[in-house]
Amino acid sequence: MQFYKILRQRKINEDTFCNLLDIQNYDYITGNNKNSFAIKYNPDNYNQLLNNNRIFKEYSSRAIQQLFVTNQKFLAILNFSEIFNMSMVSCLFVEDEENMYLEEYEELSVESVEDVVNRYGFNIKEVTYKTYDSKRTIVLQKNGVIGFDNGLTETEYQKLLNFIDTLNFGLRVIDV
Amino acid sequence: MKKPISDFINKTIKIIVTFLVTLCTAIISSNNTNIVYDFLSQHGYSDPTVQKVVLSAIIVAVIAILQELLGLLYKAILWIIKCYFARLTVEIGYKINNRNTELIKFKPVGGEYEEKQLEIELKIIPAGKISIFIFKILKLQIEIFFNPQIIDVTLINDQEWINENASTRVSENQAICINVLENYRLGGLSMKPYIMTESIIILPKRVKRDTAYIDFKVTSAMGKKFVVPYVILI
Repeated sequence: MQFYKILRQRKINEDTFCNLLDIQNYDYITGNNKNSFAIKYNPDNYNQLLNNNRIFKEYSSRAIQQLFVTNQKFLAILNFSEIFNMSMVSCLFVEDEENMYLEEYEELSVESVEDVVNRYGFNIKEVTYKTYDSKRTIVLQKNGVIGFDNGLTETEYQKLLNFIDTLNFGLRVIDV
Repeated sequence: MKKPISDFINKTIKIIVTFLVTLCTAIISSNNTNIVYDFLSQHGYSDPTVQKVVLSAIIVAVIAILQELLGLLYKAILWIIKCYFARLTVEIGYKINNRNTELIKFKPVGGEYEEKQLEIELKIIPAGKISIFIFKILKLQIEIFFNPQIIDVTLINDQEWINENASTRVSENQAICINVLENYRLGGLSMKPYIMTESIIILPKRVKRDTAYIDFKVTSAMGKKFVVPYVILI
């Protein structure tokens, strides 16, 4: 599984940060909107990249913001899983290390996740999805890191990019 | 510097008053057929010295009364200004887990920082009706931001993200912009303070030993009061 950290460039008039990543030979994917992108992630490499002062200067001047997925975003986007050709297969909470609370519900659904959030005030840590066609796994973590298996179909890959854009810019991307 | 100026003003007023009294007395008394002289002559006071003294006493009294009236008017204007233009006060407090916070520390776990949830509490104390009216029209906005800009901010309740009208949003350079009077209705009689809270998630942009301070600016600046917490990254 490959992991990418979702970022958004907020200064839109500047040239994109991805040009700089090309020079650095750093792996990334861009969304359908060029200001929404995700860069290959593991904590060490990511820190190494940003601790390069020249790169961090470029990073800051373009007002790049890392995505943080709040409960509000997790729940809202879960309601639209179908649009992205995938369905939830598991959900973890920060406060529920043993992963017991969701097991008490008959079925795993947006409603049961929402119920745990409302009832106990838990924060969603990560949601795992399965794609409809290729049955590949996609994981979204609260710190804006997304992981996906190799072998997504072309449609699923396009939907994944749309998913990243929606997380960055909000529900107006899918116009609901 | 205040005292010498007020002394100067007081003395100048006295000089002007004396000058006016003398001038009026001279002008009126030079005319031998003025009302005061006629009135005094009719009542048997035809001595010119007595007539002049009475005239000057009347002028002094009239000018003193005028002076008092002006003073009263001045005070009334001040009072109106104070009532209608008094400053609006906004107090800003920061809380983590319901406790007031002045310092937030981040420690890396596995090469990453864990996010922190911060509650921003704004206490708005309304004052002059006209100033509130002006601020509402100007869309008084408080911008809270981290300086230097090394922290990313996410709203817990992000109306803009779910495509709805938002009175709080995060700007391009990661400032939380709160429109404090958006839901305040003008024309009410109560001037009681009210509290607004906004929950945010803060997460440093990179793992590095650094310090940032919370700062804010007001788009239409008036009264302000605040505590400055800061964030340390280790």
